Amino acid sequence: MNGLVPALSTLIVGLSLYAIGQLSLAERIRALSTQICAAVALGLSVYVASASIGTDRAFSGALIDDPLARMAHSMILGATAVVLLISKGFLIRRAVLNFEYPILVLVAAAGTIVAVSSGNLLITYVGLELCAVAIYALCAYNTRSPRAAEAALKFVVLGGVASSLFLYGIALIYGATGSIALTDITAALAAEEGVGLIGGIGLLLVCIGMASKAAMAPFHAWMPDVAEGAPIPVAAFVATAIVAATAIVLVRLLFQGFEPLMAVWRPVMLALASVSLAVSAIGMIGQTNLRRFLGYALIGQLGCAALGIGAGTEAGVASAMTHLLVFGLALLGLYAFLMTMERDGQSVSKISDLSGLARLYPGQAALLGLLTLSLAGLPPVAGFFSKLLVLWATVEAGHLVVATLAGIAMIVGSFGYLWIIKVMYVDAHEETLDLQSGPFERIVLFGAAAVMLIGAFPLVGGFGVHEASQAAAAALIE
Amino acid sequence: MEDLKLLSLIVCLPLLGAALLAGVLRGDDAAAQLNAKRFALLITTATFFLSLFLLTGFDPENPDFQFVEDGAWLGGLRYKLGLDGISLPFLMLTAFIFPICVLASWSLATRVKEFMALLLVLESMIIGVFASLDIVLFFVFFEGALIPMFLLIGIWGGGQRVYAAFKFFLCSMVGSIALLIALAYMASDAGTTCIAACAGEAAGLLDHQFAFENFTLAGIEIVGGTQTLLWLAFFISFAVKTPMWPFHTWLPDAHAAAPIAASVVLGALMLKFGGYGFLRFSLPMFPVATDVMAAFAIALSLVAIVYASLVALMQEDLKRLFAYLSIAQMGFVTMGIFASNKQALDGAVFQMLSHGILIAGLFLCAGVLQNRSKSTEISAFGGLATRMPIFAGAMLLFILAVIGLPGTSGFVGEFLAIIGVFQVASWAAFGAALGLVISAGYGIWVYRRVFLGSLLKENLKQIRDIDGREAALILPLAVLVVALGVYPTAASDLFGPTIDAMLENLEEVRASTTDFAQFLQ
Repeated sequence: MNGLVPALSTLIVGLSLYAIGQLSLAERIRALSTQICAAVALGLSVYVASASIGTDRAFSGALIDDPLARMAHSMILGATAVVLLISKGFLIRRAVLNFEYPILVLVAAAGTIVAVSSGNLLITYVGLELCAVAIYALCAYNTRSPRAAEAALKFVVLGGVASSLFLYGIALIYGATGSIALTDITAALAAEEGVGLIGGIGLLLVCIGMASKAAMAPFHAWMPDVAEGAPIPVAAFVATAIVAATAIVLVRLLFQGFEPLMAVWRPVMLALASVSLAVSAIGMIGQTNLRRFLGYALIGQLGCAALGIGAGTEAGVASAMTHLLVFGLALLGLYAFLMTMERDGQSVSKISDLSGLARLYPGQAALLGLLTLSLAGLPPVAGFFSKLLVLWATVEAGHLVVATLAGIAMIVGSFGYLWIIKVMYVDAHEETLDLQSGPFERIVLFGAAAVMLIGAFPLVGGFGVHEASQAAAAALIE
Repeated sequence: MEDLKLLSLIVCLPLLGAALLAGVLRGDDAAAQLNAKRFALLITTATFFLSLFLLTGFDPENPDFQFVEDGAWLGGLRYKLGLDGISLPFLMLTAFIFPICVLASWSLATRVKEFMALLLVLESMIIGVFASLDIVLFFVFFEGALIPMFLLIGIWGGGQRVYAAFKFFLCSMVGSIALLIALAYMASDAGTTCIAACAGEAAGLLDHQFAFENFTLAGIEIVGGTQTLLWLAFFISFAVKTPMWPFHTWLPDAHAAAPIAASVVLGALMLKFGGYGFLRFSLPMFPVATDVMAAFAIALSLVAIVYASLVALMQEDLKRLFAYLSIAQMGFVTMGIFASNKQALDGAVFQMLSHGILIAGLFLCAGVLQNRSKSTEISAFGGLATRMPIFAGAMLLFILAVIGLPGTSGFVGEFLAIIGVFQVASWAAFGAALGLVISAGYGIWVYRRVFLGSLLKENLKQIRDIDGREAALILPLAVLVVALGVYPTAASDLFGPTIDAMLENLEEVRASTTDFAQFLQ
């Protein structure tokens, strides 16, 4: 079964590298572990993106290989590869790179890969925990940084609570339906008249656990701290691959397992979306730290994706998938830039450090501006179109009030994003900023910005991203 | 001409120019700055000459969209451009104003390359607004114009530039989001985003009838139903742009802070987005709602005219005065649009064109004064006519046109609008005429304070009259003001047939919804 290739390959490569590293068998391989892992992830990403069509199930439905899983795999692996490529220079400059780092990243990716294609609640849980444990370690990776330790601790505690809520929800659902396989749960829920109280509470707990893992407000408390405290490459990895994957897991659970209970979870998702957008918009205003700012920005973007999920329609899921990909790419570009910001050999990340960037580095400032506009959802960049699709799906599903609330939150949020542009273009610089851009950082920053801009041109057709999302959504909902 | 994709070329040329300017030109010394200015002038002039081909190729008798280009865009959206009699004059105005803006910034010395590139991007966006035939494409241009303007005010402005830029952006954004949500609803209701159907298509938004059955929302009966809600969303968006009272507060701040070229673009072109939007969307797509809400909109316009004129009387700064004057002038436009009869609509469109030319002239005049004395405070001047006769003459012409002196373009627009409004709401016409009287008050008063009397201020004793470059900016506008005033049919022949066709459609819809009309009465 082709669907097993990504998960198995990442795990095998990761574990073999670990063995080689631990036993100090081959110094050359040890030194090249980042590149090897990146190459594996990139190769798999391309392989999955071009893999067969159709839906396939293995282990009596516990693993599903469908367009949604393949799109998610491709996104996760792509983000993993990019993060690994851009993080090496940064970690070497901070003198914290060692051979476990890429292995932990790869293992975390493997966990999410399993989770997004799982058709069984327990397998989902195992995948997510595999990912979470690796991420906790990665957060505290820089042992000399107290902020990193704080972030990791918060992450462990809140992540643990989320996991246990999720697990408890699974237990209740098992009690109500007698199964942990998604297909059986759907059948049981569809057969029963009305919604059992136990099943409803179970679903709610699953939703809350997943929302917490996906950093949706009001269960987002760990996100700004992780974004600020964790090493920048780890924050980038969490903000792109991990939360997007978690949101996709949520999509699969809701649409494939709990489809009969749509009337229950739809308002929950819409509420999560509204609160996330509001929290993000308010949180971004007055933020002085760029990393924390990005953490809040991420919450808003996830809120937007939750809006698409909450629409409860095929178009909604497709728009959410497109939005996840678009903002993930924009964030990767921004993080690639963030890693290069230095002054006197120290990494800096205050928003005021960007002041006057447009005069010092006009090219980079323009690219950064494009990415910021994309996150703000302003035309003519890709972020506008993905937000438009989400709003469109929401309105089409009849949730006009929520769409209006989301719109208001977007107005407030645009202030925060615009402030970054103001700092770069209007403010005069006080101290010079050194940009330690290696080739990969440049490529990712430029590539992300170029995709944001060119993707919206006529004739390019958005690189077929939305078509892929539509195929994924169609296969999911059937 | 069809296969040349002329319209696309005109939309994209400034954008390409901006990309070249930003990407290729290096250095920030005097030579590089001059090159940037020359290049921007070349591009904007070329755009203007290209747009002349549109004017000559346009058939004014044909009310349909012409120069239509249609292609696939993103996931189901269309890239669709076209012009009719209403959009063509605005496109021409845009192409005409931008070379003037570049010339008006000739003395700029800081970050010239960026300034010119942003100006070019802005030109593309504004032309796109007037040329797009797909509502999403329209929105992209409409909203895309915000960022360059935000940066122009924020970087090159004076005074409270950051505050003004954010206020401008956020106020516009409120309107844009309302528009975006309404747009999403319309697209899902009508199943298309094309404004007008073209060969081989079932229907565009113009052919779709949106529901207008009354319903109750949160205890309030919505007369005109869905149409009224959509109308309101569009209204918020376009009223912020126009700007109508009470959505106007951003404009005086923006004008006071913006550099002259940005003020010219903002006043002459971007304020027209509102009126153009009303004509393109609100009137033809929500006819029932327009009937329901017309009195409300006319009342707001009346408040705008009288209130803004009164506030203009109190202004101490020329730029703020011009901002309030704009609000009053645009009040005539919105009043005319919602009176929605032949004279009123003709007057509204004419008034928009006239105001575009006038306000450009007035801000260029303010720029001349700002260059010479570093101030636009009215009290900083006095008795300038003796040393600047040509300048004083030009400014007199613009001010008289604002007041509505016969023989100037201002007269035609205001007069037609008042006649049209009188037929549907005589009280409003009376109030608007009162506004004209007040405008004579502030216009003549400010002229007296700046130009007449004796030249007492020491720093003004050596002030020079406008030089050749400044004359080249201001005189074409002055000539246009007189030309359109004396021979208004030159413009009204362009948009007249389109407005006739639009009114015919409106009448048809009104006739087909007689029950509703009776209910209204």
